[in-house]
Amino acid sequence: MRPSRGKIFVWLLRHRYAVLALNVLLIVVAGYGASRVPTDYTMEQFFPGWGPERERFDRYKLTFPKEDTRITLFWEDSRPPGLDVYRGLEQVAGIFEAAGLRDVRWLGSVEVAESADVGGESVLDVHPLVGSSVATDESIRKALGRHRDDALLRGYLWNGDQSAFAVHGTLPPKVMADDAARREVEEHLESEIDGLRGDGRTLVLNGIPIIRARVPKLLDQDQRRLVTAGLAVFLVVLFLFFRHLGQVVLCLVSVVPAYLCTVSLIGLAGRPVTVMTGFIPIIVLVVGGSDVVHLLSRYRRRRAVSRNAEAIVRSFAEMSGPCFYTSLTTGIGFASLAGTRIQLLTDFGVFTATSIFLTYLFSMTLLPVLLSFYRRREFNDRALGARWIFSTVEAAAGLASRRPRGVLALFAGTAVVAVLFSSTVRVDSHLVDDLNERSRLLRDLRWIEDVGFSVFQVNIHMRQDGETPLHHPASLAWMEEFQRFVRDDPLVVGTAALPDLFRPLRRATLDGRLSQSSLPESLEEASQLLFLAEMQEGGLVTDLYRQAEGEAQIVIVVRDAGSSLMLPFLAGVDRYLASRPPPFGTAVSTGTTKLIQNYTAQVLRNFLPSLAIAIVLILGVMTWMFGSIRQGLLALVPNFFPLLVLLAVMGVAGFPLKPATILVFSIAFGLAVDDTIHVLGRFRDLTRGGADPEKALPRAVRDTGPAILMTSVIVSAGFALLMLSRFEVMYMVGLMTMVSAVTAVIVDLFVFPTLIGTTRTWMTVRAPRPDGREVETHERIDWQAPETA
Amino acid sequence: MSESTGRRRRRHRAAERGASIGLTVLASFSGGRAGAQDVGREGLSIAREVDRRTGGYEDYEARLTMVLVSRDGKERVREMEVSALASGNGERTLLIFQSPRDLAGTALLSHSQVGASDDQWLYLPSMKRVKRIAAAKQSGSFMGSEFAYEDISSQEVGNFTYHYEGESRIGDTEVYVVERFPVDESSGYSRQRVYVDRSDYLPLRIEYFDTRGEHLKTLTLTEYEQRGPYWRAGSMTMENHQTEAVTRLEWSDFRFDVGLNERRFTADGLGRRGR
Repeated sequence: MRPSRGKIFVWLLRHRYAVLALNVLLIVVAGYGASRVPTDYTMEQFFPGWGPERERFDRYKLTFPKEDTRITLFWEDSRPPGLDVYRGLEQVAGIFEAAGLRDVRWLGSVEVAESADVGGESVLDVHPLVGSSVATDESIRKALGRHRDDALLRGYLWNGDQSAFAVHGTLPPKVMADDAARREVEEHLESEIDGLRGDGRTLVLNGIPIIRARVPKLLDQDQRRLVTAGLAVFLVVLFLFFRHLGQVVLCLVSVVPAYLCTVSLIGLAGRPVTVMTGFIPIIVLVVGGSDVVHLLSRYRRRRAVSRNAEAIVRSFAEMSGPCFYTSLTTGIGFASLAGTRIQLLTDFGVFTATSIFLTYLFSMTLLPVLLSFYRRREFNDRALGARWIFSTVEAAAGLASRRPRGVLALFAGTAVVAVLFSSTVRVDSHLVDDLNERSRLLRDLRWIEDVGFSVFQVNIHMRQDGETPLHHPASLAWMEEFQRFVRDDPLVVGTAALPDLFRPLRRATLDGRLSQSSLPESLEEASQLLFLAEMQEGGLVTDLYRQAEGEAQIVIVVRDAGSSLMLPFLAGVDRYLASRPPPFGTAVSTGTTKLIQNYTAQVLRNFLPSLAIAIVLILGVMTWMFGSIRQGLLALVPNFFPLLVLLAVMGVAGFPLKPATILVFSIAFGLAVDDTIHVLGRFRDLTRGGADPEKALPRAVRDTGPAILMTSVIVSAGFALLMLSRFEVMYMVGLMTMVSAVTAVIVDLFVFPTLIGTTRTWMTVRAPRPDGREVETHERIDWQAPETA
Repeated sequence: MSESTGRRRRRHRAAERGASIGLTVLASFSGGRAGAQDVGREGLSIAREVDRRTGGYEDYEARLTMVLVSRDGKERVREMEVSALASGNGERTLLIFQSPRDLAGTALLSHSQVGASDDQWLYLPSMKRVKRIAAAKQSGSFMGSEFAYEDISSQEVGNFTYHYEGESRIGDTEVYVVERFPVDESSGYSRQRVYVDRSDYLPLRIEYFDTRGEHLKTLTLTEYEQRGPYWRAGSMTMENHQTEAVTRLEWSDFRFDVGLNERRFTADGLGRRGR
């Protein structure tokens, strides 16, 4: 124990009332600040916050905002398309309009231009596809038959065989910007449409706004459920070990103020509490609380043989160093997430790391002060001395004494097997990811794709950069060629672009004598046909072309087939655009789908560098702590093992590597290192105090083993609850953290001590000088030779 | 824009009388609701006065510049020659584009009739074709602008019922406020609020409310000029509050009662222009 550290705690105890008052004041202020921080559970935060992709997306959204604001009712009916289905769709359109949705489009509202014979005269008839006043079974079937393969309508208003139809509406900007209003509209629509469901009819309400409303709602529900349950489990397990309610409460005393201060800092930084930061309480409770367990465990043993004040000073002085380093390494693990450009993940990483440090600070200031009011000398440590704990620790200590080479051989062999299994891990991520397959939201999306629609698009955003407008015949030909290119891909449900608008108009204007694929032959013709298109109500021209802004888009409707197929498709599109740019203006791919897939690719790309950075930083910390880079490296070796086991489990179980699961690796590495620090830290303290290294090693295992086992049980129990979540990511975080915690215990208690004992190494040992100043001495420890004190 | 011939004026008066009689009958059955009747009559009388000030010609020609302004301020400008002829029980209007270059020569001919939907013909010079366009919906967009057809076509007094709201001010100008309710059920509006200059009886602003009762658009009429007995707004700006787009119509070179030939306003006449 360093004398300087002891003095700090002596000072704290001497001024305990002032320290207590200061902490209480801080907690009150933090609590008030935390209560005023807003929450934001929208999914927009999952998008990259900056970078060229985000800039392209924002620019595109200024002109074409509807993609993300469209709500669609998909209607599949066993009856042949006729008046009954028409009236049903009409009712849905009425519900949409009454709910305030704009641009409600369905087969009864869009207008088409057709050549018609009226009184012997060829007339350009601009009319609703099927007007309500003239709707009959026959007129509906005829209209659907004539326009069955209309490129703009098939895949938009009906599917390929016209067994399913769609009604679209867009949310007003004010509603779209308000998460609560969005959810309210979604719930209202769902309840209204429920009345239309019946036998032989499948009605599914969906769209990006629906997904954005439902996913955060589900996350919010899970969070409330699981965080509350996690807290309860944590407290129960603690009580089972400590058998002392007061000390169980003490564990909360450090964690709760830290969380309140963190939330206040979130507010001061101008950030809201999000779906990710909302999980900080359970993470900090489990991770930060583990250090408190070590502290209390050490305190209880000291208290049995000394006065309260002395027990507090000595135990906290001894543990402050290891607890600092465990907080630091765990914090680095979370902070490495700040390397992504996703604001949500950056906030989560930074603020979780902050919370862990704050937990350390409160543990080192408030906890010793509160313990100073304790009168009890003896504690019921029967649970800590339980047979299973005793047996396990003794077995580990025995191995540390004997150092059988078989242990290391088994470790190495297991590592090799883990590497082999981990090579089977695949990378894959869907657009609406992380929900388990039983989820209604996912089932709906799969059904929508099965009937021939999709709610996801990739958008090619074209911009005029000179005098030539984008409706020039050469540009139209380029668009048509591009559409032919993408249509062959199995991911693509359909496409829509300006050529699809011009062909039927031109055919109708020239009395239907032209072929299907005929496009305008001159700019004047295209401009004049465009003028005609603008006269159609409910027309799709403004969805595809904003002439005043000089911007157009090609819409590619895609299936959610996972990143393994989507990323190559997007790369192929970008290669095409780079190698064959449009004759006038520019064209780039963008849209919500692309942004999400880019986020996936980016997180996957950054995985190894982020992990490497975290490892290097932690190595630096361990080197600093132990004063030796060799010891730092030695301490790192067993901590790669849990990561390998994680990958192997994922490979065997078929869990894909995706952004959500990647997060766990950084967290798991930080957690695993904690145990190593405690074991190695105790070993160093003992040898620095003059103990025989041969005896210090098993003693370090015995001293730290019970607390390590206890914290591993607590971590596993706390994170295991996440396996109850509806979200696959939460399930996997729970499962993977449990695997990591169990593996880390095995490695740190059974393998690492053997590794220390077996390896011949130079150690840098700081020994106290008589005058109290520390000096470095170099001493070679020869395990085969008699020990040198 | 409203106009009448001798027969049309008689029809107008018949429609107004009908509205007036209707209000009277309503009042007689409504007993003590004399207040509602009064505000209806007051609104009607203001509408009649506006009609008197702005209508009554046989024909006119003018230059029209239509400026379509998008939400982010980008403009598209279209310049047209407009001519109109009151005929039979309706009006014939011919718009011929002068610019932009790719639209030059495109012409739109409309025959509007009281109590019937408009007939339209479109001449596309690039295809040298005249196409009749059947039954344009009155709530549809006029040439891709923020004006609907029903905003542009005849604003007959009898097409609405009225409710006098009171007086107000627009800037320094004192105005009457009259709400009018379209009689035609296919109208895209539930009601319109008209602000009429108290001294000149010229409409200065019209607010349009959609079928849900939400304020959809506002039309502002400024730069009034008198040509002979006729008053015309030199500038008409329609602002769509939902899309945030704006369309400006800038009128100039008004010439009234110049004796336009009816043949000019036929589909044949339209086609001959292209030869």
